[in-house]
Amino acid sequence: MFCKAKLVSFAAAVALLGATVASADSDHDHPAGLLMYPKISVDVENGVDTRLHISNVSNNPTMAHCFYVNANSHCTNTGEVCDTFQDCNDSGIFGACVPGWIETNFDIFLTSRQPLGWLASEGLAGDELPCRATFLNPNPCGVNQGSNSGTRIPPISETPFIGELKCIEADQTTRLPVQCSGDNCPNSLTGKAAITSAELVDVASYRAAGLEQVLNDGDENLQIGGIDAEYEPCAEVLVMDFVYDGAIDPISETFEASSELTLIPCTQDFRGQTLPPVTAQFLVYNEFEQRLSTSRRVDCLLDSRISSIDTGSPTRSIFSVNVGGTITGQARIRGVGGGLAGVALLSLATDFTDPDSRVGWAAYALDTVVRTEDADTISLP
Amino acid sequence: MRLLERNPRLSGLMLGLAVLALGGVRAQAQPDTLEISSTQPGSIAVFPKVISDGTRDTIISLTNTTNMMAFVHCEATNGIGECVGAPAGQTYYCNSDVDCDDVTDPTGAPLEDVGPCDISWQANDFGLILTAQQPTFWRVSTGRVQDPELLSGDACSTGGQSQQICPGFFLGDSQAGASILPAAGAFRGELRCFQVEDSSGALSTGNALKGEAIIEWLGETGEGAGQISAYNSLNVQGSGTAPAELFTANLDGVEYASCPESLTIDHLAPGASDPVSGADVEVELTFVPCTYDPLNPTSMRVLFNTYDMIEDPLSGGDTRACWANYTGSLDGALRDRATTYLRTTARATQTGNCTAGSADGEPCTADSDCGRGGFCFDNSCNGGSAIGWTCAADGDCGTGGTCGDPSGILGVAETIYTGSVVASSADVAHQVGTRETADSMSTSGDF
Repeated sequence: MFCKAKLVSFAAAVALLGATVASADSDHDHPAGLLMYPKISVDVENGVDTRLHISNVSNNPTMAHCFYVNANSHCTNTGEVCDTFQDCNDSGIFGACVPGWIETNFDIFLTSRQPLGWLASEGLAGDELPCRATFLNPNPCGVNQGSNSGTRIPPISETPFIGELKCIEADQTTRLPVQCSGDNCPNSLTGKAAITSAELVDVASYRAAGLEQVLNDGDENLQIGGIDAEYEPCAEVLVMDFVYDGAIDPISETFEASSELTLIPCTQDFRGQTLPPVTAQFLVYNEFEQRLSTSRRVDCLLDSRISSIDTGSPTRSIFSVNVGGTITGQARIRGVGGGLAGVALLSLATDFTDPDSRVGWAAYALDTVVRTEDADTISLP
Repeated sequence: MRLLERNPRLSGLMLGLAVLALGGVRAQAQPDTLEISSTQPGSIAVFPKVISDGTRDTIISLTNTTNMMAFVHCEATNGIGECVGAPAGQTYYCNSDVDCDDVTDPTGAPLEDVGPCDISWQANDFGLILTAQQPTFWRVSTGRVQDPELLSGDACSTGGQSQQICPGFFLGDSQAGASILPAAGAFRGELRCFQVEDSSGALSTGNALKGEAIIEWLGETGEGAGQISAYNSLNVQGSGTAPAELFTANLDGVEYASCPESLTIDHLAPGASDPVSGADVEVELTFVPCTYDPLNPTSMRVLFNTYDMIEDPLSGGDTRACWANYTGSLDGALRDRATTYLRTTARATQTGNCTAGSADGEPCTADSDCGRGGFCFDNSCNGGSAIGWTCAADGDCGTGGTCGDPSGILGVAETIYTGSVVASSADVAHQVGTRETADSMSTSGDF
């Protein structure tokens, strides 16, 4: 009986193979030449900060050329950071809330095998550097006698802050990737971010997504995936397992679950400061394999509670337990117009619609099931 | 447990059908390079850290990412032990003898050594069927059972029973009536879910599985209840062709992905204060051997190297069986370091290769071949009564033991923050390189 079932399911699967899984190469598991931290969140006033780690796993010193991307929106009338126009009330006159995209780049010099960490709100420079070169001791650290000289990590430019960080392993002089091919390409970096709420003592950590270098001509245009790729491809389809917003946590049987999704495009033009039009298409499956869909533009960075992705009324969302009907679901997220990277945060709260009632949160990575066949590009200034 | 032969005629028929049907259809691509990945689906989903011990509980999330039905056989191995010298009526859980050295009684008074730690390495198995693209989950302490009358809703309940009933569709092991049984007592250990062909339990390399573990603190609201840490499962990718053995996956980089040569973990220093919240920090590093046999525990030999931000290394080593959860000190390599941010490398030592020293990773026959500070490792017993001990032949290891290269390792790091409440965060370790020695993972054979 099972053999028959197997044949039937196999035949059905053959018909559907156009949409089946293909494995991708970009991942969070190996040291890489390009790191992406999709979510940096800081709100000093409310005790939220992001702790960032970057490490060199090789026995040689290396350098990372990094880019903070400030994805805050700002009011046209007050210049304040805003989420909606309602935040732009200036004595009863409402301004528009305009999305922004500002990059700040800086360098990190790492000695061999060195881990380094800092708070996004504070940065790391000067006397705070662990291996400071002095006149008498120009190379104070490590087996290869290196130093962190030249490192100046600025604090994020404003608070509150929502944005991302990308770091590219680079030549110490040109600040561009080293010309290389195959095994000669340096892939020495690992990274991690921990978004922390001090008020609650609540930490959500995730590892930076890494793209390994496979070939590099050393110029300012980094080709991710595609023919003659310099870096392994980004995801065309990401998979996010999630607990439906509003579902009751099965362990406490009290708290309500909600999730936040952050997506960033892999293509970025840091030189021309232009934004590629990327759309995220969502296919959402519940335990009954019932499928619902929606889509949303990803301009620079999408950071949203999942039940706000498709509607302003969370209980009517396809990510709401009221609609899904089961506790957990799977969302397949396809990037149209470019590859995507991202991270998910699961929160438990006494009321999932009230962020102040949160009791705990945790971050986890999205899975990559289909790689982009088209190339993404990062253009460096 | 049933042992079934793969039917070669049926396999051939299936292969033929596949070739014919795929002629004009886009084939299901297989990975260019087989990997053990936390962000790509695989054929074996490994959850190295699963806790259900009265202080915390775990939700396991498992998803079929393909358009084909997926049969899954899971093996849960409990690595929890009890300190056998504990006073009557008191229970102290442990993972090694060290954990029994420094305990306090319920009043907080210190106790003398209550060891040794007795661990039974109990393995339980169960089966699941996932329809195409189906996500599912269960709570470890309760398991889950299907109730056809509760198809939709926002909450699970135990309804006075031991198993949790949840809205949704949950097709468990048919022999147990569509259910996963609750963990028997306290559980600290690991879970491995193998994709199998069908109810025969024969392994499949369909690369359909991915998952997450969500570890949640129990307790009253306001005392840390609801604090969670989460990590992605480590998914061992398969080649897409039928494995050579029905119930054993060969992790040789050809049939299934090879295990990493070493792991590297970015973390805060134990004993430090969290730079944002000021909470006290502890770190738990959990490792499982790559080689797995539910009927015979596998040893792993781990060497740690921890680097601080001034690149000052400290190292330590240890041999453990089955499941290792290192808390705090790691032979002193982690505690009281000069800087807050650390990086720890954990390496599974390989027989006949130098670990550390100037000839790190090079072949050797003696410690002197490895340079200053290096070690040349011998064979050790994998399983048997002498598990973990150096050996020259299988006979040195006792019944069921084999003498050879110790297993590779997989791992998860969890940081515990103690401030106004207890919180935690978890990440799987980064992988560096691949082992030359093949590991293997076996199931108990049935579905």
